[in-house]
Amino acid sequence: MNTKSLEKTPWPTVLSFLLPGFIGFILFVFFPMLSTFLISFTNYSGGPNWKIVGIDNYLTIAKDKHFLQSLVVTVKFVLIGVSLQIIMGLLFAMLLNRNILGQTFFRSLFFMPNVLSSVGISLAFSLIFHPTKGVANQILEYFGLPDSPWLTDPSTALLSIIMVVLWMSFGYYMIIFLGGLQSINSSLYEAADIDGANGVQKFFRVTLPMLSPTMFFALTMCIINSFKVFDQIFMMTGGTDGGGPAGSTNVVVYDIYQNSFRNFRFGYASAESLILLIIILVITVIQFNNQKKWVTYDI
Amino acid sequence: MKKWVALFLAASACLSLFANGKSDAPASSADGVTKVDFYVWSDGNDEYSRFFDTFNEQDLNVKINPKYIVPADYGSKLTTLLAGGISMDAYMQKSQTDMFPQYNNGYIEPLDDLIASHNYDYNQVKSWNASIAIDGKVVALPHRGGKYYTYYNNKAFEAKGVPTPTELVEKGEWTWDKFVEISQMMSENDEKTFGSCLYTWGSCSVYPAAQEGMNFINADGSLDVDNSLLKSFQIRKTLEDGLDIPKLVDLKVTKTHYSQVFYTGMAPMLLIGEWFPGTVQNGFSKDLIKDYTLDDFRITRLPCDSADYNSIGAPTFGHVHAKSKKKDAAFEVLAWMASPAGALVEAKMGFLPPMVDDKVMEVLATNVPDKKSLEYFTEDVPVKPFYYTKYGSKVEQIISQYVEKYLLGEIGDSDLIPAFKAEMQTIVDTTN
Amino acid sequence: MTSRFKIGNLISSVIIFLTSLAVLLPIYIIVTAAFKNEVDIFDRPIAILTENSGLFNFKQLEMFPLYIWNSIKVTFFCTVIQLGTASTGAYAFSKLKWKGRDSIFLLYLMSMMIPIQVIIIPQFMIIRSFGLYDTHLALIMVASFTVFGTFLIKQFFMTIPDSLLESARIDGAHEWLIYWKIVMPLAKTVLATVLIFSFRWFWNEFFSALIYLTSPELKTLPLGMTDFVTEYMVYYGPQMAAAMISIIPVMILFISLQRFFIQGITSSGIKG
Repeated sequence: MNTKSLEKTPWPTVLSFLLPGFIGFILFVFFPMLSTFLISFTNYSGGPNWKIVGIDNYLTIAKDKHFLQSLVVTVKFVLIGVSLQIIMGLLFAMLLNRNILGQTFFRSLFFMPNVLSSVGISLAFSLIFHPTKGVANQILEYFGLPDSPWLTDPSTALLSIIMVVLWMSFGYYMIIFLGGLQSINSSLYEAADIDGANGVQKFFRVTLPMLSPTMFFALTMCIINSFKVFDQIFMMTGGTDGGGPAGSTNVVVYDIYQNSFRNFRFGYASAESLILLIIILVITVIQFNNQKKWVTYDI
Repeated sequence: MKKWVALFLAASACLSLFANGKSDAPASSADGVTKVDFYVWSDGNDEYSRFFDTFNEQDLNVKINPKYIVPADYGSKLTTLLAGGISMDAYMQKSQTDMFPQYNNGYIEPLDDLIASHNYDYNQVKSWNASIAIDGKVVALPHRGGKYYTYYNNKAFEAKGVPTPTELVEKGEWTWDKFVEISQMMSENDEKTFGSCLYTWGSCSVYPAAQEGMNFINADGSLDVDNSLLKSFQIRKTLEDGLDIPKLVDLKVTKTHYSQVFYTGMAPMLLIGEWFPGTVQNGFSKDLIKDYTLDDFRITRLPCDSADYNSIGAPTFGHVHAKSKKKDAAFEVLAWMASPAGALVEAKMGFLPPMVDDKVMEVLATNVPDKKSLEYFTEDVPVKPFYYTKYGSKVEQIISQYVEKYLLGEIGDSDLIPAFKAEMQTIVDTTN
Repeated sequence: MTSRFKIGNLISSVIIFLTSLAVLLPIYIIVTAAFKNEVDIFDRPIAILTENSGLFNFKQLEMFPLYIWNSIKVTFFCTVIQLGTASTGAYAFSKLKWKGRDSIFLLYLMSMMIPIQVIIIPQFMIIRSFGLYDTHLALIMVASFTVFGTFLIKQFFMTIPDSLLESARIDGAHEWLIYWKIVMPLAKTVLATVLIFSFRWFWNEFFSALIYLTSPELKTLPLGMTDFVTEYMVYYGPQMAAAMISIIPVMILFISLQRFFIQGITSSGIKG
C-alpha cells in the first residue's frame, strides 16, 4: 500500500467516515460471526441442551470424509472457475471497450445473465443439458461429436455447473474490468504510440499495470465468491439431499447447509465454516501481501 | 450543519415508512378472539389454506393467523425461526423425523395435558400413535394419514393387455419381483414411455426394505441394515438399466416431478403416498391431464413380498410450539384438524384423512370414483414409517447419496452394505 | 499493419457474435417459456411459439405490481444507503491514515468469507430483538453496508494521487469537503458500477427475504415468484413470465448508466 508519510487523521474524522457502514457491519455480521466462532466449540443444535466440547468438532472434521471430499470439489471449482471467469471477463471488457457497432447492446446482453432470476437460469440450463432431448447434445451431434451426460454424470456435472456459473458471471467481471479500463488515462496510450509500441506491447505495458488494482479486486472477489458457491449447485443438481449426482458437486457450503439446516448440527457447521473462512483468509492475505509485486496504485 | 440535520430528518422520515405498526399482537384482542400464529408451508391456495379458511369461517373465539411459507424453503425458514426464538403458537411438520431433534431442543409442547383438559378423543388417531409420540408423550396430532400405494392408469394397462396391479393383488401375486416384471412389460423402452416411476427421494429407493421394517438405525443407536437394502437398490438399478423407469438423476436434473410423469403418461404406474389422489384431482382441474380421465385412475396396495400385507408411511401433523402463550387456542386448532370435521376438509381435497367414517367415504368417492380403488385407499392395514428415529433425517440423506453412487456404478454389490453401515455408525456417533 | 488490424477485428467480431449466441440461448428459452404452457416448456423448449402459446402466464401475476413496488422500495433504499456507506468507508480505508486500518479492512473482508447459512440464526436473533422481523426495514438494515462496494471503491480511490488531496488539506479543507468536492466527482464510473451491482443484488436477493419476510403483502419479487412453487407441482410458466418482467428495471438502469462507461469522458486527467 501507499506509504507516503502522512499525519494520522484525527479519530472523530475517521469515525465519521467509517461508522455509517460499520454500525451495520458490527451488528449484523460481526456479532453473528463472533457467535459462530463461539458456537464452533459447542455441540449446539438449536435448543437449550448444549455443552462445550472444546475442539472436538474440529477433530471430527479432520476425519470427516464428506467434508474432505467437499473441500476437493470446492478447490476444483475455484481453480477452474476463477481462471475462466477472469479471463473471459477481461477479454470481453477489452473487446467492448472499443468503439464498435452495437457496443451498448453487447454490453447489455452480456450483463443480462447476471440479472436473471436463478429459477429461470436453472430451468433454462436443465432444458439445455437435458440428457436426451437437450439443446447442448443436439449441437454436439450437429458437429458429429458424441453426446455428453452433462449434469447426470459425476465426471461432467461439476464442469457443467462451472459452465453455468461462467455464463452467469463473466458479464459481471466484464463490467468491473470495463470500469477499470475507463479510468486508464488515454495519454498513456498516446505515449506508447509515440514509442512505437504495438497492440500486444501496449496491453502488457499500459493496460495490465494500470488495470492491476481492478484485477486485484476482481481476483479477490472471484476467489471468495467461488469458495462460497452454493445457489447454482442447489438449483441445478441438488435439492436438500446434497449436490448430485453421487455427491460429485457437493461443495463445502453445501455440507455446511446440510449440517445446519437438515441435521441441526450448528456447532459442527460453524466449525466447518471457520475452516472455510481460514482457507479463504489465508489465500486473501497472501494476495494482499503479494500485491506490492504487481499491483500499481497512484502513478 | 443545517444541511446535515435536514438530511437526517429526511432519512428518519423515510425509515418510519417501514416501521408502521409491526409490534407483537396481544394474546387476545378486545372482542375476546384469540389469534393463533400458525406456520405452515403453502402457496396460499391448497390443503392448508383451505383448512385454515374453513376453520376461520366457524363462529369460534379462536382464529388462525396463517403464516404461509413457500414449500421448497420451509425447512430452512422454520429452523431459523425456531432456533432464533420467534414467537409462534403452532407449526406444521414437513419432515416428520425432524420432530425428534425439535422435541429435544424444547420447541415442541407435549400434548397429553392439553388432550385431557380439552377432552380430545385420542382414540380417533390412536392408530398413528407410533408416529406422533416420543418417549410415551404425544407431541403432535395428525390431520392426514400416512400410507403409500400403487397408483396406475388403467387405460394404459388395458391398451397393452397387461394384468393390472389390482388383479395381481387379488391373486396374491403383487410382489416386488412382479412389480419389476410388470414395469418391464409396460415400458416402451424408448426413454419416452416407461413402465413405472420411483421418485428421487431417498425413501423411494428403499420401499422394500422399509416395508420389511428396516430402520437402518434403531432408536437405541444399534444398526439395522441388512441385504434388503441391497435388494431395494437392485430393483431400482434393474429397472433403470432396462429403461423401464425414468433414471433418478434424470428426474432430478430435468426437474421432472412425479406428478408430471403420471399426468403426461410418461409412466402409467407410480408408487407414492396418500396425497396423490389430491394431486391427480389438481391435475384434472388445471387441465394438465389429457390422455385419460378420472375413471381410469386406480389405486391398489404396494407390492409386498410377505403374506401379511403392510404399507409404509407416516401421517402429517402439526405441533404446539412450546413457548406459545396461547397453547390452548393452538391446541384447539390442531384438535379440530385431527377430528371428523377436519377429516372432511382433508377428504374433499383428495387426501387420506387420519380417520375414515361414512361421510369421509362419501366425499372421497368423488375423487376416487373406482370402488375397488377406494376400498384399497381406505382399508385398515398396518403401516410402518420410514426410519422413524431421531437419526431419520440424516439416514435419508445418506440413502440419497448411496443410491446415486450405486446406480452410477461407483459402488458395487459387495461394498454397499459395509460402506453404508460405516456411514450409519458415523451418524450414531455424531448425533447428540 | 492494416491487414492485421482487419483480421484482428474480424476475429473479435466472430468471438463477440458466437458468445452472443451462447448468451442468448438460455435467455431465449426463458422468454419463450413465459408464453408456453407447462407441458410445452419441457417438451418443446426451442419452439418460438406453440399452438398453446398465449399470455395466460402473465395473467396469473396479479399480485406482482405489489411485489414489484416492494422490491423497488427496498432496493432503492438499500442501494442509496450502500452507495453512501461504501464511498465513505472506502475513503476511510484508502485516504485517511489511522491505526489498525488494514486489519479492520481485513476483518471487513472476512465477513464475505463466511457463508450466510451459518450467521443467519444469530443475525436473525438480533433483528428479532429490534422488533424488525417481518418488516422491510430488516432487509435494509442487514444490507446497510457492502464489503464488495467498499472494496471496489477503495481500489479506485487508491489510484487517485494523494498529492491532489494534500494540497487541499494544506489549504485547510476538511476531509468531508475533500471527499465530496474532489474525490467523489472523479469516481463516477466506479460509483455507477457499484450502483448497478447493489441494485442487481437486492433485486434478486432471495435468502434474506425468505427468512425475514412472512406477510404476503411484504413479499419482494424473488420471493413472490415462489407463489408458483407449490407442494405438488412447480409451475414454471408464470415464474418465467415474472422473471422476464423483473429484468426490465435493471436493464433500464444498466443502459442508462452506460454513459459512465464510454471511454474518454471520465477520469482523463486524474493521473500523472
